[in-house]
Amino acid sequence: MEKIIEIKNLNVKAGKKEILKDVKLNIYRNKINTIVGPSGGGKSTLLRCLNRLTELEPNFEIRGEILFNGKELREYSDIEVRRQIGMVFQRPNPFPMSIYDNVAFGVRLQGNVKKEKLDEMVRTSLEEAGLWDEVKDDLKRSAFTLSGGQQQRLCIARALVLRPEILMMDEPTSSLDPAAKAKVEDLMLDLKEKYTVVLVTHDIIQARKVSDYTAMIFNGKIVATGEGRDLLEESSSDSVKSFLGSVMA
Amino acid sequence: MKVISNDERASVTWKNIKTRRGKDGAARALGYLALLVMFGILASIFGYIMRGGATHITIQMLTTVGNGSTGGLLNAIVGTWLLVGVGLVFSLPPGILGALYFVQRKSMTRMASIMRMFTDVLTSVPSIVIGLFGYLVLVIRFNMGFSLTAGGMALGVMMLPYILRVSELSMKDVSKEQVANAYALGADDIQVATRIYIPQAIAGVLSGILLAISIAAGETAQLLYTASWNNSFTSGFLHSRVAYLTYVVWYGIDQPGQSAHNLAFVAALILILTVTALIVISKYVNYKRR
Repeated sequence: MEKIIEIKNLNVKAGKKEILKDVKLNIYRNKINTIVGPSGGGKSTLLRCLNRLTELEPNFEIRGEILFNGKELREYSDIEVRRQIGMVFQRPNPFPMSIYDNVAFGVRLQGNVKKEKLDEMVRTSLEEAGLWDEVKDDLKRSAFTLSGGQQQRLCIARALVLRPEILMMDEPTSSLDPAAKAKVEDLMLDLKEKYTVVLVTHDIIQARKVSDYTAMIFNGKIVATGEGRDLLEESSSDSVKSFLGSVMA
Repeated sequence: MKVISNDERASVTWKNIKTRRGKDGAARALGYLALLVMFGILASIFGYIMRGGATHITIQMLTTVGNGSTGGLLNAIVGTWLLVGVGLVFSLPPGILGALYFVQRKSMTRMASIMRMFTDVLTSVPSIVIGLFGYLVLVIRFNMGFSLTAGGMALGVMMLPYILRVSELSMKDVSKEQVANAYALGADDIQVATRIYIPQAIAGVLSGILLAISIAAGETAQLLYTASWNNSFTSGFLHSRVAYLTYVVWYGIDQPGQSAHNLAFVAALILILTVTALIVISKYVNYKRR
């Protein structure tokens, strides 16, 4: 498996609170890399380190090394990193504008693009996110008229339009109903053909369904890593067992 | 442990309910009383100004110039708006930029909190002090003389904290997730400001501007020191003295003769109606946003 990101000895502190401790983790290309763990364990912070959103927090102290395609993340500009490492957040949060404008947002930030080109990019992204057929007749409609599941897929399309190498998803289905959730999970499996997916979830069943490579994070520490489902079935560590026990109960 | 019978419990509960109802009633009565007092004061001011002003207002007053005790009010009406306009030129850009600075990521820094405190202090500096400062610094030191520019700048100092704080409050309502999302899509600070914060907070920003205008339109003290008065229109525009409505209220009422008093009342009426209209518009703008 080819590594796209290597995290070495990553430590993150917010004020005096240690959020991540000596995290060492690889992210593999064209796989679904899943980070599971209980709430408050540092999963989201780990994601936000990868696209440097942590830099928006005034009191975060970040030490350690993150290599993206073999090069230290800090050597890229923050904007460049964020274009190449897209992110979908926990709750669907479209901008208060039309479906089309939502998807086009990221492209327009980079300057003017010809309308035909932009139309094409919007269409491709919506297709990849599995939303095109549902919205193609009315792209000028406000994004808020979509259902929660559709809004989340719109947010995926909005991230994909920049053609990122990596798509990070921070508990993308936690606010969706079971049917919408299943759609997003199926979508992840399709997306890994073209993109590297990093999924954060506390849903073990979801991780079992989609994960190629899993890391378990507990109180800011990676406590176990492993391929596919093996890790999620059984583990030697007590904390992993107790976490699995609590979510499976 | 003492065993409480069901009857005892019921009687205690009932007593509780009675005292609560009593307290509730008293609090409500006090609330209504306070409302009545407030409304009464407002209504008597309105009524008094209306009676003094509405009966004497004439077309001629609104279309001719005057000297504050005789003639019309046209120069004062135009002058008031000019002063407010110049005030806006000096307060709007720093107000909006300051609000953006406060809500964006730097807002947690010590520098920002010190600046925020100074903004609050600025709100409570008495207008006469701003006037004195304007006179000594702008009129004398910078040799501007009594002028539209000096008056407008003195008003701008007054307007700035209102625009800044109201804008900041409405920008704070913008969802943090949307902001993070915009950054995650590769937006820089300026793009986040122009594409997320300002469009989403525009109604709040506008109502802050309207509030600042309505406060500035009713100011007198700092203008006496900086804009002085002009019996006609501002001939040299930015460099000449300028007339304004509050001056007429302040000056006219002090003069002998009914006509000067009438003029003062009409000026007060125009002011009060303008301010009310601005506040109603700003409420409407805010209401439309929701």
